Amino acid sequence: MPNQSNQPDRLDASIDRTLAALRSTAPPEGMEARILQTLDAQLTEERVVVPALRTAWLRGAFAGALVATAACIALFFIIRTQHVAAPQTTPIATAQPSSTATPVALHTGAPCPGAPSVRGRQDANGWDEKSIRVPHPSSAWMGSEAPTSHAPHLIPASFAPSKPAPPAPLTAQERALLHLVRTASPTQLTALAPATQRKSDAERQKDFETFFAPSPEIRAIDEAQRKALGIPDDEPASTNSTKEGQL
Amino acid sequence: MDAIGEQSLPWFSAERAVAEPDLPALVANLVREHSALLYRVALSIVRNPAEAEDVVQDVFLRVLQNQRQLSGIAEVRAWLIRIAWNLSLDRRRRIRPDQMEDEFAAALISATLPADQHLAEARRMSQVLTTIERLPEKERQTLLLTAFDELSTAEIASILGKSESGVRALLFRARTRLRERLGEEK
Repeated sequence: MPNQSNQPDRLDASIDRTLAALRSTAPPEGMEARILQTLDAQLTEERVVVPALRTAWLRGAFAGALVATAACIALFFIIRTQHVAAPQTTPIATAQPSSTATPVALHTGAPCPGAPSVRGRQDANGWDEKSIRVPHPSSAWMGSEAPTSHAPHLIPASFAPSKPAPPAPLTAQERALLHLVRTASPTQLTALAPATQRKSDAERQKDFETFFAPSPEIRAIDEAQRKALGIPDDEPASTNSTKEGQL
Repeated sequence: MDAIGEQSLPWFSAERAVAEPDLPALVANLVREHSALLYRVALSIVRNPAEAEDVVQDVFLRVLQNQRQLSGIAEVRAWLIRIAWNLSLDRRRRIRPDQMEDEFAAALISATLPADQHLAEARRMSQVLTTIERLPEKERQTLLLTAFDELSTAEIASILGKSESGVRALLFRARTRLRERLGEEK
């Protein structure tokens, strides 16, 4: 009985002793120095590696920035050169004083910035065909005065460089010809030549005439009728043509 | 405790400045102040001195990597213990502490005891450690952390993410369960 009552105390004592042993454990000798040494080595490694990486990164970034700047400058000069190289004035040698080609400013009679300047001799309609020059659109609005024409938005469009019209779609005949060229045999293609076609047409005509030519009996009847009617031989008989038409 | 006192040397000592000229003073100071406690915490879990030392080293390597965050940490000791605790649990999953309970228990006992008492005490401690290992996780962790006098209940609660009353309840349940299981085994 005393053993049973003392057992919890003994168990508690065992637990406490075990926990106390854990609590009082001393670290191995030199542990702190080893840890400090490891940390120092780690730090040294970082100081060697990280700046190298940082330097490499900086070099790469600097080179990239340099290349980007050079590209921007080159692009700027290219654009600038294109603007400068384009003629400041575009001659309209074939300008006609028609209602469609006449600038708006001329209709209004008011000077319009960007409108073609007329110099030299003018013809009866007030146009000098050789000396009409259109200012470049970029320089058209340099003046402080705003456009006062009725349709100012049309002026830059009218002075814009002309562009070739987009290719028109093929017609049905062109498409058929293309299809034929791609798919037909050489013999069929040869038949497309004009000389061959003419020869072929002549043969067909000849065949037609041979086929529809009047038979000897009909010709004899014709002769008889001619004689009866008193029609000369060189004049074609109306009945003959009628018969041919019936045939 | 003497070990802690010896290692709590001021950072600005000449020897230290020569030995680790590049190491940040704050980290080196933390090593000297807390490495012993962290070692004991790690040892209570991994039950292997070499592994415990590796854990402590890993803790301070992490501190070194995150030294810029140190200024924002209010309770550095609890923070360090939490790191050591988690690293120890990670390491414990890779080793088999059950296989070294006897050896570990024998190492815990003072060598001044007579051989027969040493053997009996080692067996008893091994039994207690094995039973502690079989406790529910939270109870086991609370019991082990309360073994260290340096840690207050508030700090243990902070490490375990529990309230102080929760820690006390866990501790009570852990001791009761441990006592019952040890009594059953005897």
